Amino acid sequence: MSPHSGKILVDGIDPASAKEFVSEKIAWVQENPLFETESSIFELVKYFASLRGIDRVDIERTAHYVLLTVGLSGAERLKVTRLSMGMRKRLSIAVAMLGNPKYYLFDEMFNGLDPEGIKFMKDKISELRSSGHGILLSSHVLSELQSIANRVILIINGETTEPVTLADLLSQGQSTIRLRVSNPDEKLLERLKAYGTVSIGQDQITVSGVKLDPSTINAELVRAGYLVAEFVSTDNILGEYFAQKTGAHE
Amino acid sequence: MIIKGLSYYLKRIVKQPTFIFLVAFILITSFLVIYTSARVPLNEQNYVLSGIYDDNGTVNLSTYSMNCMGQPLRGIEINITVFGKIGSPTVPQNMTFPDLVSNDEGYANLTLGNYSQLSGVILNIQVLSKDFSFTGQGNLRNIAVRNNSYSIVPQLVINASNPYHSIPFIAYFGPNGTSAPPVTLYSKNITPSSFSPEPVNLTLVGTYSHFHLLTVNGVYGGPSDPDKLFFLYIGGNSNNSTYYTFSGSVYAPPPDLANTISFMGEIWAVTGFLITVTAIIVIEMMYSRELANGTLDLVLSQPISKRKLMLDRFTSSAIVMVLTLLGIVAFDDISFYLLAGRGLPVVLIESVIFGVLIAMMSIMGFSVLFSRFRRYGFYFTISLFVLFAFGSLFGGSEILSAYGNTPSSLPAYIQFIYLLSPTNFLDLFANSISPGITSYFQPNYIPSDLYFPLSFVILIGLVWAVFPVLLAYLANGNRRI
Repeated sequence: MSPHSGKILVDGIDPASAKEFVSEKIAWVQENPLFETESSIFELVKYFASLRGIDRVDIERTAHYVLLTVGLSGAERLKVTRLSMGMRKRLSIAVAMLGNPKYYLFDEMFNGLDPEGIKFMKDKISELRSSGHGILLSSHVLSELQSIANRVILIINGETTEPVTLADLLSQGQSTIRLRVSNPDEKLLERLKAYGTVSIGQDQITVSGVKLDPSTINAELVRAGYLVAEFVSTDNILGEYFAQKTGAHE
Repeated sequence: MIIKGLSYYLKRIVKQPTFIFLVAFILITSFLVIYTSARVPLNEQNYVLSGIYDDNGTVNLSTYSMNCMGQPLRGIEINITVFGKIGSPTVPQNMTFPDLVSNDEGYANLTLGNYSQLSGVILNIQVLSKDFSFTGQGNLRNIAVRNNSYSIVPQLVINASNPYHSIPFIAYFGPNGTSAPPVTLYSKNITPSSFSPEPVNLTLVGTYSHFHLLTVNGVYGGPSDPDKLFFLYIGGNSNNSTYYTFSGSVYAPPPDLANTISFMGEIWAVTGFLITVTAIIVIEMMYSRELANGTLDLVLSQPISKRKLMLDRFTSSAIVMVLTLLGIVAFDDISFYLLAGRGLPVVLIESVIFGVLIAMMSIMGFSVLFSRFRRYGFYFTISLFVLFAFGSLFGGSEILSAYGNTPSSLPAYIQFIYLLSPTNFLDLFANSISPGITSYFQPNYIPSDLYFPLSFVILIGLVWAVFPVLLAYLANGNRRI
């Protein structure tokens, strides 16, 4: 597919002019892995291993290794049609790992996964990152993204924002806390406004745009004699950032 | 050239349930057709069964009964050679009975007509059935039972085109328990022009008692041998009351037809046609599904070019096609040619090659025209038509020559396949614009009734070519392929 406009460079190389070379560097992990459903796991991995240019003598060994890595060892003979979404995504990662590409493109990896699956994916992504691979992860689940991403680019109405690091967002104080105090008084709201923007609900107070560490705020309130019955830090840095950007865009 | 994912493609194609089912179906049906139909090759049963001589100079050709062993006759052509004194009216030299059908007992009656004052007749019978035996009855028997004289009974002519290695005659003389004079088998070199009504210089082959299976061993006939007519002489005595009924059947062994096309050619035409269509359906559907469900996107994200991917798939499909077709050829040959004691005609291998190439070109070429590989589809399409041209020249001439260049006498379904086959339809096109093109390969002629209008030929080609594309559209729903 040719781009309508713009350009993507991978290590300074345009994929349009060197498709095979760039494809060796990138592995695509699909949101909804589209494997041939009648093929077995092992057949598929071997097939993609051959496409990745792995030597014929190494294909089987490599296939076993990547399946072991994603926890699919022992399920080699299963057909794709019998796999759950979580298993398909694991298979997709196994296929992506073939040939040890430099970069991984994860597309909406957290969709359709149970908590255990999400944890597995996050661990796997962290593992790949720590071993020196570049990860490009697209997701609408910002809370999960926040826990593993270190740089964020938003695409809003087809336009990208400037990349920001998660550390920058944290330093800008973009977390939110929700609390319930048993003995509120007039000074409480004044005190909370010093931490961020305060909104009062039916039985809950929300403070957004908090810059301090939430645990520090909690400790200060207790020292001031307030009985804090509930204290939740939503820590929705990315959500706040997204809301800020979309609001600014509008 | 390294084919990436070859084994994967092969397995996927072969494992397609549709593919397995259709190939099995075709194998079984083709075997049944072979088993229940002609074991003796079609159009090659060139028996020369009867040399008839009447010492009064009169021969009547009337009704003959043909025992086709319970098998339906597919038609019969009789070439009649008359030599010696020719009577009136003139005997037609060729008679064709395309719709001859046997009765429930396996016999078909053949009326040739009555002709008198003939001194000698040879019936050259071409039979389109298997297990064929020609039983000389009627007039022949009447001649054979002439009493008190030498009688000539159904005989066998051996010539260069009809060599035999053994000649079994089955003859029954007289009622059971009756004695009969010894039977003497003579042979005589003949040519139509030199035939004499008087048996002269006969070579004694053997003398046998009545009711006997006469088997004459030895090699008779060959390129350097003269035509030879075998006579069974019933040695008569002077007892006028003794009548010897003759019910002689000639069971001839299969002639050597190693370099000819047989009924198997027709079976193969049907089988090959079905296999081709099957492969197109299966492979096309498989790749279309891959395109529709997005698998192709994942495949294309791998370090492989579109061109290489196309080539790999084409090669894999071709290998499956070749193996399948060769397997079916082998299967059919084992069940047919071995029974007939024949070798594998080279022409079938050629047909396989052309069939595979053209089928694969059809699959890949026309479908990719509408896919993301459309740039390569153009080249495939051009290649396809080039193959059409060559395939048609060879394939068409082979079929025509197999039928003695008289396709109008072919069964209707064969004509249909002939027209629909991509290896042949362009042959008609080529001849319609320049008969000289194929005359090199086909020294005789193509009858005028096969000169179809150009538009009709093109229409058939388009239908054939668009077929996989339509399948791809059906498989993909609304998605553009």
